[in-house]
Amino acid sequence: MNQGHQLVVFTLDEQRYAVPLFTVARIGRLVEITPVPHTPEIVLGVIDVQGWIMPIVNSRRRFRLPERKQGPSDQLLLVHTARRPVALVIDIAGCREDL
Amino acid sequence: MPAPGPHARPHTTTIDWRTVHRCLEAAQAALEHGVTPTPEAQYSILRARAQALAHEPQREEAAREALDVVEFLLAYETYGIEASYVREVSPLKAFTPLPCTPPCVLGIINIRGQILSVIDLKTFFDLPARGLTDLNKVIVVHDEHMAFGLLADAILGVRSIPLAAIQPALPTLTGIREAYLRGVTSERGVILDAGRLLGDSNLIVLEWGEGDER
Repeated sequence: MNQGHQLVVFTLDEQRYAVPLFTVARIGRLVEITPVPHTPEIVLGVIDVQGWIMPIVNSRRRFRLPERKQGPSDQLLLVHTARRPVALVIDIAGCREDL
Repeated sequence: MPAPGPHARPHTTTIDWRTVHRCLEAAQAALEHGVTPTPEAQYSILRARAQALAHEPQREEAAREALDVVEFLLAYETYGIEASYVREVSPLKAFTPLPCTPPCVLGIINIRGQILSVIDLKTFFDLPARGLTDLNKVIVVHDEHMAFGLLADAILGVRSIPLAAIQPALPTLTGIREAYLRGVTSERGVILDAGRLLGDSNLIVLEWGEGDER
């Protein structure tokens, strides 16, 4: 089974995005974000995931989508990148899809 | 808009559509209010989730990590020793007392050709001595450098004890008991530190002769 062709799909404003399955650490509901000063504007702050502090990225600002206030109905996508794990704020995570 | 359905019964009373519409509007308002809670409620929801996310691992890890111990009885007290150090348990059939050894050394036994010394932890821990029977068991503990037998009154079995359930040693236990203690379980069992027992140089008897001073 080729892991690189399995994707996790999520939506932002009805637009579907996908990340490779093997980069996804976990998916959860949005939690309280601790703001951090002097960060790039796409970083909303940090969250504590089982003792690991990871930055949380405003994916709407990253993709230049219209901004919306985050609420409890939003979800979190924790992904591993080449340099560090990050959390993305997404509307809704979809199912796993094979490409 | 909801339309009045054709009613099967002929004698229906006239429906007050204004009340129905008012009820529907109230329900709609309640629904919208329920979907978007107040900012304070949203904040508390997010905060509770953040705390759950941050604290999850301790609960899970503590429940998962466990220590396998061989439990045995010594003078009606429950003792445990890490199962990873235990090679075997054999009945105390015949042992040879060894002269000129400290009282904690019961003697030597022959287990399939290997001569092992048997340590009586009761004298070691100042517990009241009981007579030996052939129901006594010998727990053979070993590591890469050392192997010896521990005398036990009875074997209770092997148990998996979660690490979170092992409390640190009581401050009232002093001396040699404290030195070999790994912790105390919630059922008043004493977990012995087998690694420290095996590595203890006090247990190695080099030579005891008549001229030597005790």
